[in-house]
Order: sequence, then structure tokens, then C-alpha cells
Amino acid sequence: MADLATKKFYIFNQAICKMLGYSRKEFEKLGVRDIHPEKDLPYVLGQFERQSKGAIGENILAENMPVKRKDGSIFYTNISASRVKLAKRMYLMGIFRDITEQRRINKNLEDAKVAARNVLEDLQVEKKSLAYAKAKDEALLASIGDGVVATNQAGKIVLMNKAAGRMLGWSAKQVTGRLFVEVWQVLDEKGNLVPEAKRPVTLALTGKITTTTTTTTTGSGYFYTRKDGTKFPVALTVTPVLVGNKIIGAIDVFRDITREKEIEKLRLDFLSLASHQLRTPLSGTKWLIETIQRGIIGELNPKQKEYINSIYQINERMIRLVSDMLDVLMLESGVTAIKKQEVSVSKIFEELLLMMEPASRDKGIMLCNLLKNHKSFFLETDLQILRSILECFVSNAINYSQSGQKVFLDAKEESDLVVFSVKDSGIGIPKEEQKSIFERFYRASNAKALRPTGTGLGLNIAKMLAEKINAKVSFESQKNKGSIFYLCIPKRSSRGVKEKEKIKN
Amino acid sequence: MNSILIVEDEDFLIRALEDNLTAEGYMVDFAINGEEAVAKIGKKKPSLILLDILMPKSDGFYVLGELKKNPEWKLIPVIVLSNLGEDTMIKQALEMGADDYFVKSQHPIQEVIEKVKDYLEGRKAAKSRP
Repeated sequence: MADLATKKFYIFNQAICKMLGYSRKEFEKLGVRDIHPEKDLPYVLGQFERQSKGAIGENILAENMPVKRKDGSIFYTNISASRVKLAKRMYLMGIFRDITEQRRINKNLEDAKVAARNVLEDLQVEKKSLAYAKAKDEALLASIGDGVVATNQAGKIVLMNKAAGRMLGWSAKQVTGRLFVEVWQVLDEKGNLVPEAKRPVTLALTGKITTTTTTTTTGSGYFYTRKDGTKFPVALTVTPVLVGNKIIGAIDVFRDITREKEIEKLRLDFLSLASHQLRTPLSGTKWLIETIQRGIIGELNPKQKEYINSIYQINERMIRLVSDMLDVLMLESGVTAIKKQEVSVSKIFEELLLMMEPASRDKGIMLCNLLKNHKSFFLETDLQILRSILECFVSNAINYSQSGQKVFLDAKEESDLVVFSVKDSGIGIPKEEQKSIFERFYRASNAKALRPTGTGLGLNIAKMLAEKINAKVSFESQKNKGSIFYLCIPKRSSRGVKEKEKIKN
Repeated sequence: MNSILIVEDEDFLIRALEDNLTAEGYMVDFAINGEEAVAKIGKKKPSLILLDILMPKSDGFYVLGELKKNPEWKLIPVIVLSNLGEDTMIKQALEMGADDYFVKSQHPIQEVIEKVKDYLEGRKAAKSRP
């Protein structure tokens, strides 16, 4: 209790002394000004002022009031005060309650609340970004131009994107949960139904084939059927979905290649037409000159004969060029189908020698077959392609040798390879030009000088052909000493083919 | 006397063939498209036909088809002379009953004449068409 006028303490209990760290003696000498921090004094004294001016019976409740201990430290109290009249003097009686603990609890509570709010906010941000990510993934998937269909291990569709739905004529809702085999059919290029066990998705799910890919140009194309039963050609990639090593489903990514097929057909038609249109005038020139040369329509004088022969050679060169260029175009467009068969090495050498004999005899060059005892062995490849490559090697060997020289043909078995070689002692390839020798239209300087009529396509075609049958061409050469060209070709095209054969049998 | 029907739309090729075959003593007639060829075969059955594939109106495959239908024409030897060099074309022509196939620009005319002689002088028999 403090005197309203003097602000000195008058009656007080032990608790307040203890609270503030004073003895009773010390506290007796203190007043209101001593127990409040400087900044709060105007408020406190203001309350005394109001009470002294006679607003009677008004209870003051000051919460969170800072109070100063003897040692100067501050703590917080709730003070409830009221005016008391005692022996004609007016006092203000204040009841102090230390709220430090309560404040601490409150603070902890507040902190916890803030923390919780923060966590919540973080969660919400996370949730939003997750939702965004999910929406993004879904949008991505939906907007992929290719069709995407995913199935679970049982072959039930778990996802179908918009493009797939559009192509197949189904909506995702209609097919989700259904077996993929019930939704669309697969036809091979001849239009025959592909049985369930052989469908790419089945192969992926059963782990028989990891990934099936077909493109516009691969031979074995597939067709998919739409909801209405019509079909369209597809290029597809089917892959198993693996978690660890376990197959949990399959993904089929495909697109409609109707347009590409049309373009491919136009391209082929054009090639075919171009080849016909270019060859027709050339063959006319050829045959008419040959008719003149035969003398059916009268004899020519020697000079005319010479010129006619030159014209004939020029025309032959043109025919070769057109034919080689068309071969290149055909090879590049992938039209040339590979037909594998058992090929006897000795037989192909015999044929080759027979075929090249006129050319070698004209040039006075001897063709020698080095194949050991002409003993034969076999390999499985495309006979036509193998023959074309070897023909190219042998005719080069003849063309770039001189009369009286020999050309050697040989073949050796090396583990799972057969290595063919054609060796000559001709003009060779200058070292600095060797790296370019397989380039299209490239001709070595000494080759051009010796034989100006070459097309520069022979080895380029040989290399492309070799790639078609998984073979490799290479050479060793020294200028003026000769060249040796190699063709390394696998005996069996691949294990897969061998197994297929077994199944057939 | 052996008569040969040349079915070919290019005048200069007809002339080259005609000159060479006449020089060998054959009688030569020609048609410039498939329809005309079938009409001429109908009037007078030739001993051998030299047949181009790509021609206006009706092509060589049409002629092969017509020959196959008629039992009297089935055995006429047919040598296709075309500039279509694709394997598929060659295969198709042979399957339809052609006896030989030459890509014109790749063979000297002499080779064609020799082939004609092979058939007409009985050195080679035309295969029977199914």
C-alpha cells in the first residue's frame, strides 16, 4: 500500500519484499518510484494522479507491468490496485503477481504456435509445389505428342495419355484398369494379327525381350487397331518398367507413321521413276552406238570408228554413274532388303573369278585364288551384298594394276569371323589420301590420273553395304607397291537369328 | 519364219532392236503399249516377245497377265527389257511368267540378240506358265 500523495510505501507484506529482493527495513524506505523502470513511471504516477483526483472505486488492472528488483533486474507482474482510505489519508493498495513463469509458459506456447504455424506454412508450400509438380507431370504426359500407354505387371492399363487416346480412339477413363489386349490389337506388316504372346508389351512384361523398337524404315512394321477397327502404322518403343530388378509393368510409346509411310513411298516411287527416266536415254544411246559398231548399217572410216568408240565409253561412264548413284540412294533409304542365306566361300570365289575373268584378261592381269586347297567353309549372310563388295574390291584391284601383275583373293576363318582379302601390286593409295578413300566421290590423285572415268562411288558403296551386313571394310596400302583390302564379316549374323531358326525347325 | 514382237514405247530403242534383229534374219513387228501388243498378238502370234515394262496406257505387267490367261499364248517366250532395276520388279515379272529380265542400260544389245537366238533356235526352252 502506498501513500497516494507521497507515493511512499506504507503497509506491505513479506511476499513483496521477497519478490523484489529487499528486507523489510529496506523496503520501508522505498516508494513507488523505486520499483518501476524509468520508462513506466509516467504511466504509474499518472494512475496515482487519477486516483487522487477522486475517481472513487475504480479498480486498476495493469497487466504485464515491468517491475525492478533491488539488483536492477526486471520482471513482469500483473498489478491490481484500488484506492483505500485509512485514517483520513488516501492510499493505493496494489497486489502484485509475479507472472514470469506464466509469461515463460505463454512464450513457449507462443513459440510453439509460431513453430507450428511455420511448419504448417512449409507444409502448405510443399503441398502446393507437389501439386504443381504433379500437375506439371500430368500436363507433360498429356501433351507428349507420342502416345503413351503404361500397364502394370498383370497387363492392365494404368495410364493412357491424350495422344494415345486420340490415336486409338479411346478415352483414358474407358480403358484404365482394363487389359491392354482387350483394348487394341497389333497387326504385322502383312495385316496378320500378332498373337498376345508375341506382342511387344507381353514380351516386355515377361522379360523375354527388354525393349522393342520399330521405326519408319525398319522392315518389321506394326499396325495398331483403333476402337472402330481401322488400323494405322506405328513406330513404337516398348520397355519394361523395372523397380530394382523386378518388372512391375511396361510402357508403350508409339506414334502414327501414316504420313511418314506415304512420304517414304513417294520417295521410293521417285527413285524408281528417276532410275527409269535416267536410264532410258542412256540405254538408247548405248544400243544405237553398238548397232553402228556392229557395222549392220554400213562401215565407218577409222576416225569415225575412233570417235564412236569414245562416245560409247563416255556413255558407259554415265550409265555407271547413274547406276552407282541410284544404288547409294537406295541404300540410304533402306530399301535394300537383307536376305540371309548359307554362303559357300569357295563357291563365291569361283563365281567371282568367272565373272571378273574377261576384265582381267583384257588388262593382262592374272586372278589367283589363294583359298587353302579351295577347301570350303560357310557363312550366313546376304549373298548379293557380299558379292557386290568383293566385286568392287576385285575390279579396283584390276583397274589399278598394270599388265602382267597378279591379284590374289583369299579368305580365312578367325573365330566367329571370316576375313576376305583382295591383294594387288598396283599403284596403291598415297598415305595422305588414305583417310578419305571411303568418302563419296573421293578418288585418289594417282587413281584419277590412271583412270579418269571412275565414279568415286565404288568403295563408298562397298562400305555402306558392309555396314548393312554388320561387316567391316579396311585396307593396307603403299603408294606404287599395291593395296590389300579386307572384309571382316561375322559368320552368323547374330545369335538371335540362329535361335529363331531352331524354333522354326 | 520366226517373228518377234517388240513392245516398247521409245522409238530409238525399237529402231536399235529392229536393225539388229533384221540383220539376223528375223521378222520384226512392234507395239508401243500393252493394249496394242495384245491386239497384235491376237492377230498374229509371234515366236517371241521383247517386252518393256513402263509404258503409257497399259504396261508390261498387263501383257504378262493377258499371256497367262490364254492357253495358246502361254508358251510364247517373253524377254523383259526394262530400265526398272529393283529386285521386286524383277521378281514380279518372273513370277508373272517372263522368261528373262534385262536391265537395258546394263547389257549390250548383242547379249539380248544372243538370248533371242537361244530361244528361237531351240537352245533354250521357255518355261511353261502356270
